[in-house]
Amino acid sequence: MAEREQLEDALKLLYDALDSGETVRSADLPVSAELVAAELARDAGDGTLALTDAGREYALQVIRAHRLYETYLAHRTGHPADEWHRQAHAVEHTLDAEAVEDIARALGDPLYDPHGDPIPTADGQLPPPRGCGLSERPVGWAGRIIHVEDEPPELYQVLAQAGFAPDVRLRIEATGTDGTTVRVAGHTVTLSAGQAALVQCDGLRPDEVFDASVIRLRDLREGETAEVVSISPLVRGLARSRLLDLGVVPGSVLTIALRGPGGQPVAYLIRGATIALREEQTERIMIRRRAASEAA
Amino acid sequence: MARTTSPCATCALSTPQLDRLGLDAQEVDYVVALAGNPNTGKSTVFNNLTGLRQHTGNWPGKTIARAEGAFAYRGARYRIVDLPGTYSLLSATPDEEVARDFILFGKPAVTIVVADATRLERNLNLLLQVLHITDRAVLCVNFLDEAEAHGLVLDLGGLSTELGIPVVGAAARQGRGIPELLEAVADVAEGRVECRPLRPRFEIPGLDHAIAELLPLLDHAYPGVSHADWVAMRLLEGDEEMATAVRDGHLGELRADHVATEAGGHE
Amino acid sequence: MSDDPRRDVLDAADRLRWDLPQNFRDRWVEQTYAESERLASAYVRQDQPSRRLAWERRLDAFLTNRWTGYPTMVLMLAVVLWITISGANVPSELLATLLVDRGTALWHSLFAALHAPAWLSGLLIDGIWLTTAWVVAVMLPPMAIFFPLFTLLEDFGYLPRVAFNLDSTFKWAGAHGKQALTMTMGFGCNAAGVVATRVIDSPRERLIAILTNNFSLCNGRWPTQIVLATIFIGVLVPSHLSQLVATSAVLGIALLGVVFMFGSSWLLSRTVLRGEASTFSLELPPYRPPRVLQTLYTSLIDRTLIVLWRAIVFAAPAGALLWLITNIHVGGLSIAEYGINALQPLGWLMGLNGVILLAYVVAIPANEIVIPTIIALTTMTTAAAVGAPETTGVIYEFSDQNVLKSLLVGAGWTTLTAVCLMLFSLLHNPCSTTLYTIYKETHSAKWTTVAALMPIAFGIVVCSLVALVWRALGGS
Ligand SMILES: Nc1nc2c(ncn2[C@@H]2O[C@H](COP(=O)(O)OP(=O)(O)O)[C@@H](O)[C@H]2O)c(=O)[nH]1
Ligand SMILES: [Mg+2]
Repeated sequence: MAEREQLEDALKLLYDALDSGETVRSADLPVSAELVAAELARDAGDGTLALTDAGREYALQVIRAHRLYETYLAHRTGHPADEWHRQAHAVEHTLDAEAVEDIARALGDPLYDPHGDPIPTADGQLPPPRGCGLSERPVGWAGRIIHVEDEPPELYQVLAQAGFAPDVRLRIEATGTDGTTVRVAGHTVTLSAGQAALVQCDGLRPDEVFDASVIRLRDLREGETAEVVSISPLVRGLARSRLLDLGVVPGSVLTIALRGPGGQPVAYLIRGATIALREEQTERIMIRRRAASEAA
Repeated sequence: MARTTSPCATCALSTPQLDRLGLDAQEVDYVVALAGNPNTGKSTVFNNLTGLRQHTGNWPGKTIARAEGAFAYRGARYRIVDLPGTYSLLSATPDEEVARDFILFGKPAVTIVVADATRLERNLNLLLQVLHITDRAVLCVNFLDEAEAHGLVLDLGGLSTELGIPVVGAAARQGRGIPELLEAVADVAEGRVECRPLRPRFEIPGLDHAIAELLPLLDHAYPGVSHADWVAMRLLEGDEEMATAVRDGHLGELRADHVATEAGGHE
Repeated sequence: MSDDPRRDVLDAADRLRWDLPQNFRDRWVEQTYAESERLASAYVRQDQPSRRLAWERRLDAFLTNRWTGYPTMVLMLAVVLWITISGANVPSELLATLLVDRGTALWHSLFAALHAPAWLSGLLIDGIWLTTAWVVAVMLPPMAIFFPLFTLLEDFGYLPRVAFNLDSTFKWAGAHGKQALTMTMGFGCNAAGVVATRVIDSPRERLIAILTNNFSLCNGRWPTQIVLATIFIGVLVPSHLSQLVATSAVLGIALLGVVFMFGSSWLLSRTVLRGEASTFSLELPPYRPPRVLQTLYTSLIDRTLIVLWRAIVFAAPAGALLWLITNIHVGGLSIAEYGINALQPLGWLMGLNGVILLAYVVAIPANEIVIPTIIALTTMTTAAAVGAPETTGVIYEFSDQNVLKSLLVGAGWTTLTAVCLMLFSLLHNPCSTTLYTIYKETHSAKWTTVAALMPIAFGIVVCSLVALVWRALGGS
C-alpha cells in the first residue's frame, strides 16, 4: 500500500507540474524510475519527464477519487472544511475503481468539488481551468469566484469563514499595502496578499450584476424587513435542504420575531412561521433590506 | 339536548355512515395517505377517523414511523396511513423518504394533505410537491377555528378550482369538517370526482429541454410509467434513490395501470 | 443507444445535468414557494388585524426574556417535580400494599392450597411476581403524573420556547437546545427521554442527546439516592439539619448528572461524533390551549401500558434470575455467592462491595429493584438478620430505616460505601429497557454499546478515585 501511495503521489505531482507548464527533471522526482518502469511516464529525451497516456489517465483517476471524497465529506458529514483535504489525501490511495464509482453515484455524480474544481469524469475528461487570480484585478472590478485553494489550511480557514466559495460574486473595493479589500458574501473584508492568492476569479456572466446592497441575515436589525437573496454555497447537504424546506428561499420575506435571552439564537418570521436560526446559519444567508412600504 | 348540528369531538362526528375500525385493516377497498407539514393536525384527523389514539402534540417531529388504522364509510373499507410530517418531499431525511415512498409507490387511492389555515402559504408548498407525484388528492384546510381567531378569511372554493382537487375546511380538534372530508375522500376514491391537479411549470434554463430528452428514454425503459416528469427532475437533480429505482427496476411499480396489491403489498 | 434501456436513462440524465444550473434544486424549491405565495395571497384575506398574534408576541417576549424567561423555566420545572413527588406517594404506597403485600400473600395461600412444590411458588411468586409488582408500584405513579404534565406543556407550545432559551448553552456543548427537554424527560424515564429525541432533526445532535440521556437521574434511581442520603449522609450532621443535608446530597447528585451530560456532550461532539452531519432548525409553533382531560386520560393509559410492558418483559425475568441464583447451590455455595466473591475485589476498589456490583448485574432490567436486590443479597450473606423473611432471594424493603441501616452496617457498609453507591447509581449503564430503546432508535449496535460503556467507565473511574482519596485521607 505504501508503494502505491508513493507512486500515485508522484504521479499527481508530475501531472500538476506539467499542467501548470513547469518541467520536471527525472532526478527531482523521488520514484521517477518506477513511474517509467510502469509506463506511466517516459523520458522526454532531455532528462525531463512526460506523462504517457496511461499515466495521464491514472493521474486523473487519482484526482477524481480525491475530489469525490472531498465532496463526500462536504455534503454528507460534519467534518469542517479544513480537514477535507487531509482526509481525502489519506483515502484516495485506498479506494478501488468500484468504490470511487459508488461514492460518485451516492452523491449524484457531482460535477465540481467543494473548492470549485471540476471532478474528472470516469472516462478521464476534465474541462480546462479558467479565470485568474484575485490580486491581478483592478479596483471596482466585479466577478465570481471559481476556485478557492485549500492549502495552506490556516489561510483557507479564514477565507471559508468569510464566505469565499465557488460561485460567490465579489467586487474589489480597494487595494493597498495592507491588502485587497473586497465586498463578498454580504460584507466587506480585507485579505492579505497570501490569502488573495488562493482565490481564482472569472468575470460575471452577461446576465449578472454585482449587487452591493446584499447583506447577511445576521446583520438584519429589529423592525427591519428583508428579502432572501441566496444561501451561500458553503451551506451544503442536509443543512442546505433543511433551510430550503423551512422556506428560506430566494424571495422569502422575513423579519426578526424574537431574540434568545443571550442574543442567540434569533427567531425569524418566515412565510407565516417563527423559525429560530443560529448565527453560523444567519451569516450564510444573503438578504436585501426592504423599505417598509414594500413589506407586504 | 337534541342538537344534532353542533360539532362534537367525541360523538363520532354525527356521521352515521362512519365506522371507526381502529387497527382492523383487513380486506380494505381503498388506501388513504395522510400527509402534511408537521403539526398541522394529521394525527388528530387520523384519530378522528379511526378511533385510535396516535400521539398528538404541539411540537414538530412527533410522528416518525407511519401509523396505520382503518375505517369504513358508506359501505367501503379504508386503510389510512398517518405519514410523518414533513416540510417538503425533496430531502434525503428518513421521514421525507417514508412519506415520498408511500405516496409514490404505496399508490394510495387518495392522499389527504392536511394544511394549517393560519400558515397556508407554507403548507401549499408541500401540497404542490404532493400534487407533482399523485393525481388524486384532497386538501384539508385545518385549524379553521384558529384562522377565525386570527381574522383570516379563506376562499376555499376558489382555491379548489385553481388547485383542481377538492378542498375541505376543518377544525379537526373539534371534529368540524370531518364529515365533509370523508365525503370528499369517498368521492375521489370511488371516482365520482376527478382531480386535475395544478402543476406549475418550472422556469429553469435548460430544464424543459432536458426533460423532453429524458422522457422518451424513460418511456422506453419503463413503458407507461406515471409521474415521469417528477422522475426526470429527480434524476436530473442527481437523486440517488431515484437512480437506484431506475437501475433495479423498482420504478416499474410506478406504472399508471399497475394495480397496487392491496393492504399486504407495501409493508 | 445501448441494449440496456435503464442504463440509457441514467447516462442521459448524467449528461443533461451539466447543462442545468448548479443550483437547480434551490430554484425548484424557490419556484414552488413562489407559486404557493401567489395562491395564498389570492385566496386568503386578513380581514381584521389579529388580536391573537398580539398576545402571542407578548407571551413570547415574556417567556424568552432574560429576566423573566429563566425564572419561569425554573418555576415550571419545580412545580412539575413537586406535583410528581407529592402526588406519587399515596398511590405508590397503595399499590405496594395491594400488589406486594396482599398480592403476594394471596398467591402464596393459593399455591399452598394447590400443594404446589416450594421451588415453584418460590420461583413464580417470590421471584417473578414480587419483582414485577415492585417495579409497577415504584414506577407507575410518578410516570403517570410526570409525563401528562409534560404533555400539557408540550400541547400548550411552551417546550419549544424552553429549547429556544437554552439553545446557546447547549450549543456550547455541541448539542441542540431541544436536548434540554429530552434531558428533563430523562428525569422521569431514560427510555422515554431517548424516544423523545425524535424531535431533534439533526443526526449528530440527536445521537448526542441519546447517548447522554442516561445522565439524567431517572425515576427508578431517585429512591436509591434518597434512602442512602437519609440513612448515611443525613446522620452526619445534627438532627435538625439532617433533612436539609440529605436533600442537598440528592440534588447534588442530580446536578452532577447534568454536569456529566454537558461534559460528555462536549466530548462526543468533538471526538467520535465529529463527522456526523449536523444542522439546526427550531420552529416555535403558535400557542394553543391544551385539552387537559383528554391529555390526562390518554397519557395515563399510554404510560400505564408502557410500565406494565416493561415490568413484564424486563423485570419479571430479573426476578426469576435473582431467585434462581440465590437458591441454586453448587458445592455448598449459591451461585450468587460465587458472583459476589468474584466481584468483591473490583467492588472494594470502587469503594463498594461484591454484593452491590452483583445487584447491578442482576438489576440491569430496572434500576428500581437495585436496593431491594442489595437487601436480598445482603440478607443471604449475613445469615441472621433482623426482620428478614425466611425465604432467600426475595426482594423486600424495610419500613424502618434503622433496621435497614443496622443490616447494612453489619455487612460492612460505611459512609464511603454510601457515597460511592450514590455516585455509581448515577454513573452506570442504562437499564435494559433504555438500551433496547436506544437500539431501536439508532439501529446501531455500535452506538448502543457506546451508550452502555461510556457511563460505566465514568462510574468506575469516579468511584475508584473517590475511594482512593477517601482512604488516603484516613477514612474507611
Ligand atoms: N385549535 C385547534 N387545534 C388543533 C386542530 N387540529 C389539531 N389541533 C391541535 O394541534 C396540535 C397538533 O396536532 P397533531 O395531530 O399532533 O399534528 P400532526 O403533527 O400533524 O400529527 C395538537 O395539539 C392538536 O390538539 C384544530 O383544528 N384546531
Ligand atoms: Mg402526528
